[in-house]
Amino acid sequence: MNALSTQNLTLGYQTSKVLQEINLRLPQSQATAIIGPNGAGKSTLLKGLMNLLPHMSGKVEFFGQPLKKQYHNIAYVPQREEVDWDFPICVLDVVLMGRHGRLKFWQRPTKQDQELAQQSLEKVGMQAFAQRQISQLSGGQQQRVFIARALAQQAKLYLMDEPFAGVDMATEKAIVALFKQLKENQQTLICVHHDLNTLQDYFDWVIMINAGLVAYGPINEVLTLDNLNKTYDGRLPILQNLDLAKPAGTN
Amino acid sequence: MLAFWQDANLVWVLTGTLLLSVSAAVVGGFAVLRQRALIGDVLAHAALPGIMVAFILFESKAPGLVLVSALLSSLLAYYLISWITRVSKIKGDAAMAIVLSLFFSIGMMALSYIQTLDLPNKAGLDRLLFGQAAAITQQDVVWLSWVAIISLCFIALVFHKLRLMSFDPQYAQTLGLNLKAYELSFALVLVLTVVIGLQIVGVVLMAAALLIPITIARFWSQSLRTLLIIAAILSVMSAGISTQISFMVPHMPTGPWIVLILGLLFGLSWLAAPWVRGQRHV
Repeated sequence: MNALSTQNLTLGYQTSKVLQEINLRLPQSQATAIIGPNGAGKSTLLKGLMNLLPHMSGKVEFFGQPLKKQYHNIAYVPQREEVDWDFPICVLDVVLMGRHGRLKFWQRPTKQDQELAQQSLEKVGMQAFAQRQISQLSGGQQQRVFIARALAQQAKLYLMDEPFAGVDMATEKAIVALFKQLKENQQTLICVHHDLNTLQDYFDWVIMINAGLVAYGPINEVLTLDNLNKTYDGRLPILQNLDLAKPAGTN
Repeated sequence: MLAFWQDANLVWVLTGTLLLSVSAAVVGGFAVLRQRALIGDVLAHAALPGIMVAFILFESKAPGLVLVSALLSSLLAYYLISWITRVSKIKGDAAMAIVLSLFFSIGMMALSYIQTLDLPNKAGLDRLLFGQAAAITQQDVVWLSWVAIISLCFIALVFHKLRLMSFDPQYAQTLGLNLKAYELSFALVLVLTVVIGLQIVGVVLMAAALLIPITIARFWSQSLRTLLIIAAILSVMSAGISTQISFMVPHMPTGPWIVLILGLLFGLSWLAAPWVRGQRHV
């Protein structure tokens, strides 16, 4: 069964359609990167999958079911900039938010929820910061807290919006190690990613978009010069380190 | 000096005022944290035409009628704002300003019209502009208290979910939570708090009673629970003192005094908090 499949998904804001007719089928237990130039619709795609945009058409299924029946299996990690980091709350309480999908409106997190949140913080190396106010965190620490919050959901599929944006080396390494661990546990990852130089190291599959789907599939099949040119309108970043796939039929 | 403590009715009034100030501080606190600071101002102004039209139609100021008419009028404004921002490119702040002035103008016109009518009970409607705690009847206080208690219970019950939705509404939605239901119930509690606050604080200054306490509290704490408690205490202090003044000095409106005392507390906190805490934050 596919972790994610979409049929004729079209997404956009009030008057403009950002992405049109997206058809995807992503297998489970893979790490998939979404790449494309600025404004290509990478974040829009993630948000659309999570039904956070009002204007959309087409069909999205997670593990063969619509989102409504799969909320408990999917964890979304937004971009850090989308929240107010001066909000008066401590790290542990933010991570505990990941448990609220399973709690009724009047229920408070239980001791088990607290332990789970602690374990999630440990997985991202932030256990020492549990009682810290979030306003005192660095960018990399903020990112790790958001990822810990997603881990606390105990989901099967993780959708992350630029988890590596503006984080330090230590955080990047910690997140990559975590990715490996998640994949070993048969969990699936879909991330918006910017750095083509690390693409092949961190991910197995790639979705290339530029106001529409250019190509998607295993990196060693679809990361061709031709597809990259289409994705980045010919304005390619430096590519000498990339081990590009050869188009089928050549070599 | 403290003569009014001896009067049973006045103790009632004080109780209502204090309950209201607690719920205004707590409910307003959440509005500020959701970066919707001005919505309370809009809802307060928008209640005016509802109350005035109801008075013209029914020639009555019964608390139940005032509450329901103000509620309908404010909710209409609330929906109008979300409708404008949804179907046009007008941003939230502009939409709020437009709706606020429009509703307030209609309310003021209706109030002027009422002044020309020959009705015995029309006196006191203009007190809604700045509020006058001393003029409240015991019947009003019973209503005030119930609404305040319901608002506080609601906040206490769904505290965790409200905090989650204030911090990161999109994420709350991805958890499968019914964001719209929470939004609507919070809006309802906010409108109720605003509407009952009108008699004490008044239309024009209601926003201050909602916003200033939490703003002062942020000088002193960074934990949401403590913040709300501090805000409630500050709010009670200012409401208590202002009610007292409003009783002792005839025709002294309560609203401006509440704001003045809160402003004083704000200034003191601004100066003292960094010194007390040993560091400057904000």
